[in-house]
Amino acid sequence: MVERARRLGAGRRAILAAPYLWLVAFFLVPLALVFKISLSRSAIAQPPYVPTFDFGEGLSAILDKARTFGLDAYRGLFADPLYFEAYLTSLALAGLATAIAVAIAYPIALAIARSDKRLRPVLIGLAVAPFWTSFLIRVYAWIMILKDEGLFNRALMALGIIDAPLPILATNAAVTIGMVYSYLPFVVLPIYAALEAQDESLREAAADLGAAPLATFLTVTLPLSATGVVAGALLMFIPAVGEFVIPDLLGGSDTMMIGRVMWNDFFENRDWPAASAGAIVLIALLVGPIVWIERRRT
Amino acid sequence: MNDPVLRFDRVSKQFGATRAVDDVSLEVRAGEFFALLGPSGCGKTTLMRMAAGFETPDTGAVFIDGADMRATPPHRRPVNMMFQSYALFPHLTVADNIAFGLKRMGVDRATIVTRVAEMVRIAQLQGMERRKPAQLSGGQRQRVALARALARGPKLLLLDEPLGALDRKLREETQFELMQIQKKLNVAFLVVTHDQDEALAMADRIAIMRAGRIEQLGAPGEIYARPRTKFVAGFVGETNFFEGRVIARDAHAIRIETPDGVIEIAHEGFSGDHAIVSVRPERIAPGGAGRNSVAGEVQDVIFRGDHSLARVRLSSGALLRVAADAGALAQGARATFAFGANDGVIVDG
Repeated sequence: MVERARRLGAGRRAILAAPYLWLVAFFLVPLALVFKISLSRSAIAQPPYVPTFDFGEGLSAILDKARTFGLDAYRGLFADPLYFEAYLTSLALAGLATAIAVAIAYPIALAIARSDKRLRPVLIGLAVAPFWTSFLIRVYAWIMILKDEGLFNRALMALGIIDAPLPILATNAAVTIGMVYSYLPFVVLPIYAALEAQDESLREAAADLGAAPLATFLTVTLPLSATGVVAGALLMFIPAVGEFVIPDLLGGSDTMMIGRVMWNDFFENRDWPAASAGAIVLIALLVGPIVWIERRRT
Repeated sequence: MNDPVLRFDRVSKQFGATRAVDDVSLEVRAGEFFALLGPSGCGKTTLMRMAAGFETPDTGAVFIDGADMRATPPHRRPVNMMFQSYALFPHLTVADNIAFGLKRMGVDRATIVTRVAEMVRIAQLQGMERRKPAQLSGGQRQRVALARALARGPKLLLLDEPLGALDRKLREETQFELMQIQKKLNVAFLVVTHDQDEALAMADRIAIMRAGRIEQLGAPGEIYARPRTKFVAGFVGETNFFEGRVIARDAHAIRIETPDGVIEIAHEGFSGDHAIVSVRPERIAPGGAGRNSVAGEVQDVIFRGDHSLARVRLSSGALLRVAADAGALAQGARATFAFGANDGVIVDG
């Protein structure tokens, strides 16, 4: 019996270890590599930075090289106002888009959660249906909608609301629209899950105690779905801050989001240490507040 | 004072193919403790939810304090309900749960504070005000639910299986608490329960429901002593049935031929030629004295503290339940059991 229990314990540990191994191999190790590159110096070489390590050189050579690590790339970030502006724009646009997405997603999630039980899987399926087509194609489609002679402007002009096309494409507005559209299902799902799990008798109790439907929503339904709202907002905000494709396709040349700046550093300037330092700072900016929020929630 | 606080006037409700409530008329009087008793699925909860406004009757009307409630949504009805699951708001403290209904009334803050303190005292929740429902025991949650429902001072409180989630010992204590609070505040209680002991112990009047209809309505003693139907006799308390053809009758008694012999039972105007008789276990005595006697072998004896309940296999094969002094009956013994003509009640099938 004891032997059997010990074997089960080992099996359990192996199962628990699997996700950790995954995180170490595909998250921590790459992150460590990025961090290492951020401490390196840019160089005209292949790869385009020094030092690079060769494990055949022996430990002392590697240690010598490691002494050349420095914070030049980080100094560059703080010296150039472009980065500061790019971080600010990214946080602002992602924040605005997340707020709009929550405002749109909440009624959708509420409607699905309150619909007939048999209908709910269908409606949830419809909410995530856009995922069945390529993300890139869907963002391209927005170009067709938002450009000067696109669907949106033609419709407004046909209705006589405007005389000349509104310049939307290649502005921050287009980027915001694109992000709201792309991430909406990620916001709907956690809010729906929180609403669906709510006990109906709580709403009945509120009504029984004299709360009109709106008061019931504000005092019971909304506060009890707050965890879903926070989860959905984080799920969208985090990737949206570092978003590259949407600002690249829908934004203008002046839309400087940090993802695009890093892409430029990486592929145009071939300054890998600068791009890596940008990524490390972005992670620090996001992880800090999120850990703080999660701590406060529990 | 004699106006009913709640009146159902010929209400019916259909769910798909089932008639959950079938043409029920009922009155709950001011200040009384009324129990709706019946097995699950008999329609008692649906009937109560019609009073709260969570179900609308297909036909018929619900009156609260004389006012027709057909067009009144739940949040405007002058009744409160204690939910079976308690439905406490998990994000609010005990004090805020109790204050919830008062805040909706628009009373001033000082009144709310005083009223909450009063409810906390009545429900014996002192020191728990700042706790969340998840930090309370089952019994404490039950008391918060009661305090919250009573806080608005309703004339009628609806209680859905109020003791259902409590363990047995706590249930008995809480029964007394509920009765004390009900009398002290002079609120009419309409309790839904499937537990006959609970209904018999607490209620002033009981309505026994079966398949959407009220089978019998009366005081607990009356229902126990004079069940009108076989269902009521079997559902409320333990009993024995004797059934057979009526072979002789006079103005006061009938004689019935049962598989265990002919028995004689008193009656008042019974005219059928086939009768079912209910005889409670405590009305049957071991030994020979009594108008009717049956013989059998004691199959098993269940010790119940103050008395024992024996199951006796009669010659027909039927089981007879007999209450006796503890230790008076031994398993396997053959004995005769007797009861008088007034110890049985003729019931409808």
